[in-house]
Amino acid sequence: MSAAIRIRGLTVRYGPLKALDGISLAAARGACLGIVGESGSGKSTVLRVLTGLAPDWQGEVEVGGRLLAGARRDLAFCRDVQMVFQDPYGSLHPRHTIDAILDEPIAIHRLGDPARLIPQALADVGLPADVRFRYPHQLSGGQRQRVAIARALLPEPSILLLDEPTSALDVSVQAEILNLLMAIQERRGLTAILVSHNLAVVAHMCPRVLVMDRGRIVEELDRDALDAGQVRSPQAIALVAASRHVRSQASNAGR
Amino acid sequence: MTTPLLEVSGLRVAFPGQDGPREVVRGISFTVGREKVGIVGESGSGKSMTARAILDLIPPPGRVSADRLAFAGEDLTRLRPKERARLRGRRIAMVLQDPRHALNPVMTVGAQLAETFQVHHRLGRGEARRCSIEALDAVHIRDPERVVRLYPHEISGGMGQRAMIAMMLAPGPELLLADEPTSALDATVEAGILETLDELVTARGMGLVLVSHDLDLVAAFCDRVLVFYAGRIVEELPARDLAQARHPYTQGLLACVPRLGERRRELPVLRRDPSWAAS
Ligand SMILES: Nc1ncnc2c1ncn2[C@@H]1O[C@H](COP(=O)(O)OP(=O)(O)OP(=O)(O)O)[C@@H](O)[C@H]1O
Ligand SMILES: Nc1ncnc2c1ncn2[C@@H]1O[C@H](COP(=O)(O)OP(=O)(O)OP(=O)(O)O)[C@@H](O)[C@H]1O
Ligand SMILES: [Mg+2]
Ligand SMILES: [Mg+2]
Repeated sequence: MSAAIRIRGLTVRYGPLKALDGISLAAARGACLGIVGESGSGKSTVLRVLTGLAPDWQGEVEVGGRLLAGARRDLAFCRDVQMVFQDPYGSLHPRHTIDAILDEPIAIHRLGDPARLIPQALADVGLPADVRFRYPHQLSGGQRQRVAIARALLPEPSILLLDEPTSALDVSVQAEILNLLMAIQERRGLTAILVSHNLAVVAHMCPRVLVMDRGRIVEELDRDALDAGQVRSPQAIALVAASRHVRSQASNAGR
Repeated sequence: MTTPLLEVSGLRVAFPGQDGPREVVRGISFTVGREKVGIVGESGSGKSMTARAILDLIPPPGRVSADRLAFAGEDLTRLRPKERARLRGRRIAMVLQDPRHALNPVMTVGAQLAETFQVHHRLGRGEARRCSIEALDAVHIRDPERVVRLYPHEISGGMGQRAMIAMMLAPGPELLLADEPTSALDATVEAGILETLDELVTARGMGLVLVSHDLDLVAAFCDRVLVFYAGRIVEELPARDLAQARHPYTQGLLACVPRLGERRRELPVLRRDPSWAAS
């Protein structure tokens, strides 16, 4: 099994804090690797190192067989590795229309005819054609998130880094996006890392799942174990229990 | 009968479009008492715009109209903008959907929180700082002493969401409108935040409007649920009956939810019926 992404002993420091404390992981080519864990445990930091958004890190990071250094990434890398950020508002230029936002990767990577590609990209994520000439602040939260997903899919990357891609979406749009990602994965052998707080979404998408806590990986699960709640680390046990608790009617008995 | 905390009747929000105004909220009516009201519904169906209209936060050129919009019996539409602004943040608070965007990017989290405490509780600087740390601790942020010194771009998504919640709860509002307040939180922290909110409703009599895409969570946590579709309420029901919803849209939504232990190759998606948006 060849790994599309391999990380060894990755450490990221912010002052005295170790946001990542020597983690190692491998994402198999053509599969989706899930990452779950408490808020603040370092999940987004892993993705930021990969895309060159974390300036300072120690360790070994290999993407598509090439070792990365620092924060520099070449144009080919930027086309081949796409990321959907946790915060769609922050990642879309506030004074650019959706049209301009989607045209940017098309122009940079010479992807083809924007008049054909942009409407298709919008339709793929279930957005009506008339959002094309609006600004990000003129869209709902879920609509903005879908623009970010459309932009990441446009260059047909071979690696997709997804940070909470569907947490702002209603469950029907979420289902459409997850089905779309699955279909692309089957068609093109896309490798993905999916960070999500929704354990059911992770189990649906990812054969393998990592559990993080305070900058470390504390457990590695396969999806059957997650489905069955057969987890060992205290952190994973707490996550599964809390996830069931907040979603079960029993938690409200006696009100 | 006691006056409800919030009365909304015939609320409409419109934005100018290419062929005349486009209504995104099309005649919404509901009331909120000292209870937990959930709002679910399609992306773009007008949930956030409804909450923003109540707080007079619709950006121009958006236009709001309502047959009645009242807080604790007081007609909000008759208040002057200044009086309305005073109500906002003090007696009615809103947790916005994009928390990190809503925080001031050039002020540390601690400075923003301390300012809130200084303004609303007339505290001195040292006291306000201590309250800020306590407030972050109350929303389950580990190491609040470190986090108060960070700027919004230096905190994680879920920490931003919790900082926002802490800031909105600081003045002790009577009504909290929370737009996806736990969407960036893991289940463990989420459970803690929900418990805090529940306490405020049961112990202090706060009213809570919770906008969420998590149907199972809303069913378990809230008292009542409003289902939004295309700018209207298509169904209203007791939260515990959500699984037995009548409207085909609500039923369709429930079918799309992935659940642990229920593996499906492909998730069902909704086939939208134009008649849901009419009537
Ligand atoms: N620029 C920075 N300066 C200081 N601390 C930082 C900076 N960036 C990140 N951190 C810290 O690193 C830790 C990990 O952050 P990260 O965003 O990776 O968490 P996360 O697991 O994605 O959390 P969430 O689920 O809430 O998004 C946090 O404690 C955060 O405050
Ligand atoms: N400034 C604006 N100008 C024009 N249309 C707008 C503006 N802001 C929002 N809209 C539109 O109003 C509709 C309702 O938006 P709203 O933000 O209330 O949706 P929502 O139900 O909160 O959706 P989500 O679940 O995705 O957050 C959307 O179709 C959106 O595109
Ligand atoms: Mg994150
Ligand atoms: Mg919204």
